[in-house]
Amino acid sequence: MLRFALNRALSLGLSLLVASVVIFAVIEVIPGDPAAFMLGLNAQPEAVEALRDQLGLNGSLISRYLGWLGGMLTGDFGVSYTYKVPVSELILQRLWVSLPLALYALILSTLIAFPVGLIAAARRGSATDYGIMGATQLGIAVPNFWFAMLLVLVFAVNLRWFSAGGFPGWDAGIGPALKALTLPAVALALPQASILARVMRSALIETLGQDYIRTARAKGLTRRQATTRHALRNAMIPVLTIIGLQFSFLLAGAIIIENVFYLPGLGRLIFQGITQRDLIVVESLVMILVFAVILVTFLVDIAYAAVDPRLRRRA
Amino acid sequence: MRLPAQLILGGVLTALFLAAALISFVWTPHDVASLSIPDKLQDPSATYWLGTDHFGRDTLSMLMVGARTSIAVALVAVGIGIGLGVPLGLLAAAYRGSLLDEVVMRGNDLIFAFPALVIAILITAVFGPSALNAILAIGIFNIPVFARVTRGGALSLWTLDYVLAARVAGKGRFRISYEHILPNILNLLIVQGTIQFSLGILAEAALSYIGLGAQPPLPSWGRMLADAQTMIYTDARLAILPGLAIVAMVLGLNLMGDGLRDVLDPRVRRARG
Amino acid sequence: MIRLDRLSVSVHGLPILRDVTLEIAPGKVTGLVGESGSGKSMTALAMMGLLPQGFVTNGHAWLDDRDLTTLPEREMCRLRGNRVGMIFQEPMTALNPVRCIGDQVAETLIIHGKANRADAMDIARQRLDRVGLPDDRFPLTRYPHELSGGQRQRVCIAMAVALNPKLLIADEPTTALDVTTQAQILDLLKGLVEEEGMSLLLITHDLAVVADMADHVAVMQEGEIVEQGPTEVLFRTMAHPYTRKLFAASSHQPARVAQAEDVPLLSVEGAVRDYPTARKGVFGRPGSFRAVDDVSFSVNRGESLGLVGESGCGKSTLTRAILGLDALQGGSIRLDGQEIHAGPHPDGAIRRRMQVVFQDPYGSFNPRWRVERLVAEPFHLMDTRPPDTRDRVATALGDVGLPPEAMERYIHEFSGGQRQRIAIARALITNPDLIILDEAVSALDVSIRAQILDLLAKLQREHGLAYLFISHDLSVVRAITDRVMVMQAGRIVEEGATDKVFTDPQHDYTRTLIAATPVIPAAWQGESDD
Repeated sequence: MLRFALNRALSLGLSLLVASVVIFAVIEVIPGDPAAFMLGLNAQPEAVEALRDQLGLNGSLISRYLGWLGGMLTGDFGVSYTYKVPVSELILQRLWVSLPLALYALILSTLIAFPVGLIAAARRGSATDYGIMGATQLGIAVPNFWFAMLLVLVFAVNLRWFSAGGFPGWDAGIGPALKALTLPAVALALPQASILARVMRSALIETLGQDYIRTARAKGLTRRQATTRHALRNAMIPVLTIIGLQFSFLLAGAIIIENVFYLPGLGRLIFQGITQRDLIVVESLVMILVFAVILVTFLVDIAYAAVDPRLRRRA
Repeated sequence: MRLPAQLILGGVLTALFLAAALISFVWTPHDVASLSIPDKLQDPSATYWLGTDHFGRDTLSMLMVGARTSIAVALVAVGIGIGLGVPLGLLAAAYRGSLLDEVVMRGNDLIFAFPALVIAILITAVFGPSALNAILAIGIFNIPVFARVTRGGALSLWTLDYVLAARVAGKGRFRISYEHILPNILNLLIVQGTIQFSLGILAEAALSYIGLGAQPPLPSWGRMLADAQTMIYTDARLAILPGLAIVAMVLGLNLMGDGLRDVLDPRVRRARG
Repeated sequence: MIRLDRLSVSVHGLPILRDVTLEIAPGKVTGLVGESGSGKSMTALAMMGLLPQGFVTNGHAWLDDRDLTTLPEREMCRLRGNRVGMIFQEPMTALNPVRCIGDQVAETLIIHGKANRADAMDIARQRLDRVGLPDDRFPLTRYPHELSGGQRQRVCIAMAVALNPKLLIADEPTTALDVTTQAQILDLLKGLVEEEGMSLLLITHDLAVVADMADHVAVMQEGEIVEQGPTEVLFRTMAHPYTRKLFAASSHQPARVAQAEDVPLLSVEGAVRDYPTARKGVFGRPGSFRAVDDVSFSVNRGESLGLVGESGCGKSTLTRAILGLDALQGGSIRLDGQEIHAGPHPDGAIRRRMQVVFQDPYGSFNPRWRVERLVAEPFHLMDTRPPDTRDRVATALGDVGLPPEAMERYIHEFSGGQRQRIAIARALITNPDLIILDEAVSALDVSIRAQILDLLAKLQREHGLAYLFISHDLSVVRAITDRVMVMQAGRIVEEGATDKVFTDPQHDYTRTLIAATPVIPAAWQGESDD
């Protein structure tokens, strides 16, 4: 098991390394001179030169890349050109909005999807099943940012149960902070829950058709016992894959949803970075997002191995 | 053969939007490029069937041209995914376990680590926002999706005896991939194509909404929603209509995909007797 | 006492089982034989109350004084695994892959409330010991994927008999297993019946297995029991024509004439084939496994040579090497003196003299092609496609007994036996000297198999073909070959004239194989001549 984990960690570490090369190449090599780019068309040559120095652009490509990489490994992401503060500080601050939001949504989505998928699979072909399938079909088709706008319209504008946006900060207490994240999390979670419920249902139906379910029934297990004791855990394998994929969707979705609710998260930071041409912020943020996705992939792989003994031997 | 109801419903919805998009090339109720401030924020009427926006542009015309943008972006993105992903997947399967297979699969994993939004952010940071940016971002993300589906489907076919028989008949891996593998995974690709198409519509809307996709004055559903957001207190209609268009289009495509799966998948067909 | 009384099953008004009446005596083995689709598995599932939705049961299945067909589901759950146990054909998929074997055996006890978890584990241990899976090699913590097919079937048996049921239903329990494993599993079942005094309902397609195992036999055809009686009496009288037909087909001997010339056609010399095994870790080196180890033999012109061995012995790997699909790591393969190279540009002139027929009648054809194109595919080995392709396809189809109209149809329009005929037509199309038959009749029911064997014998006569007949089934090889080789663990351990090898085997492994193959006692067969 440990060996398996190490192997996966190693191979994902390689992916991360390649990803960093790609990001570095796209941001620093393709557009020409980042300093000129950041300062715009009318920049004075002296200013550009000064910025080049400040950004460490006068070194060779390789030494710049290694410097960037080494910096990130030690938590030094450079200094934001527009904010004049270390990027790591900015990211840490904003992470405390985006990460809880994504996790909140993931938990909501899983809590909704599991029972719904289970019921649909258990009552396959019934009116309940058709109802659930229809509702999830609709749920998948709804863009989360539009759903967020509808939520604002209903719960903030008309009912006034929630505020339409903004974030009081965690200092204001966990209650108010969570309340501010609730509408965004629901908006993120419902479409994902629809997908997850459908995957859960089809995975369960697939496993319920396997030979070992028949064996279990021949042992005297009721349909329900066979489902809970034998089908569920096997159905978890595809479900875990989707949960892993969804985390990256949720993280990306969080970036968009933050715009609907004016939340001071990574999403707002990244857009400010783009509009202000603050490449250092953009570069670091993209790297962090990719790191998060790869990390989740790793965790899902480990979870696979925990569920499925056949994988523990393999690399 | 009886067609499943969802295929018909989905097909009709999809056809409706395709027709609207095509018609918009030659005719829209009003010109979407002309601003008419006196007519702004009108409620639906005989002149403006779905009302007007804050610049006085006709919402129905905007929606029709928006359908064009969405469909064009999603279609080209799916095209990129199929055009590059399918050959890569076929090659990886044909040379299973080889270095090529390894490179393709690791490359896939790598792209999967960059959600379409992240790719869009990267491209925008460098080249600035545009509809082309959205196409590239969604298209790149589609490549590994199709490569994976193709490889998976192809691998199970490569174990079948008819492929062995073709090899005994002296056929090479390319010819077998083309003659025996591709036609038999077409079902999979058609179904995946509709799914990616609908995801493309959603992604385009999201990218345009946050300003990384289609730029004004080109109408797109996502941009319409972004514009409407500021007026959500005064005129909710503008925030609802484009959303409904997205939902209906995506729903139509998904229903069609599910219906196609039922019709094309021999396993499902057999189970129905 | 278990008694089926006019048990009938139908689905959407279509009858599947008709008035099945059968007594299953305690402490005895009752055999239920029939070809695929005869309804034998349905009978078992109906008794277990495990028929899929939409199936309607009529009649009675009495277990003592209770009718299994009318018991509520809750009562059935209490009976299943407790009073009636069942094992299935496919041991590879019959166990839950994510739970260890101890848990799965103990579950039978726990679910019926017969033991707490600790006791259940102890009993599971005893039961696994009893079915031949001792603690030192098969601890309770083993997972199914760590076991072979035979070992998994033993776990299934342990699960089914954990609570000493009155009746054990075994549905084709050994069909997916090798002949030596089959013999062991059948022995185990026999021993359990004797020790525990339970009834065994043994469902199989194999008359010889029934003859060997059963006290009482029932023969099924199209959902009905056409004949039943004590085993020996039944075999001696064979009152029903279907029984006679089944029997004749299963021991069918096609009419052959020896026509082998003393001229080697295919010669394999010192062939070695290594497989890379899974890489250990990202930077680990791939290991290797020697599947074919220094194999030499030759097939003469017009000869029929058999190659027998159990699964994993290397016979499929050897076949692939002979066909030039995989490269050898040592030795050579020559056809009429010219070496077969595995590579991207095969030499069509040699390759077209050697064709192949595979096992699976369903996977052997591209479902999107018409038969004409399917049969003509080997013409790819010619430099140019012959102008009379259609005529040649029609001739080949005629040779295998199919009308020329078959050309226009798709493969799903044909039955399994017809598909195998089409596969043979495809092999004939280039007028080969040698056809490799890779388990070519193994997937077919006995009556169809007999027809295909006759066809093969006829074609050999008419076209002067040589066959390399690869099979795990000794009786088939005995019926159709002049000479036979026995393969074990990548090596040829014995080789000789077929009759001689079967009557006087020299190698221990050959003896084991022959002893493990169930046969119908010769003395029972005298009166059934027709």
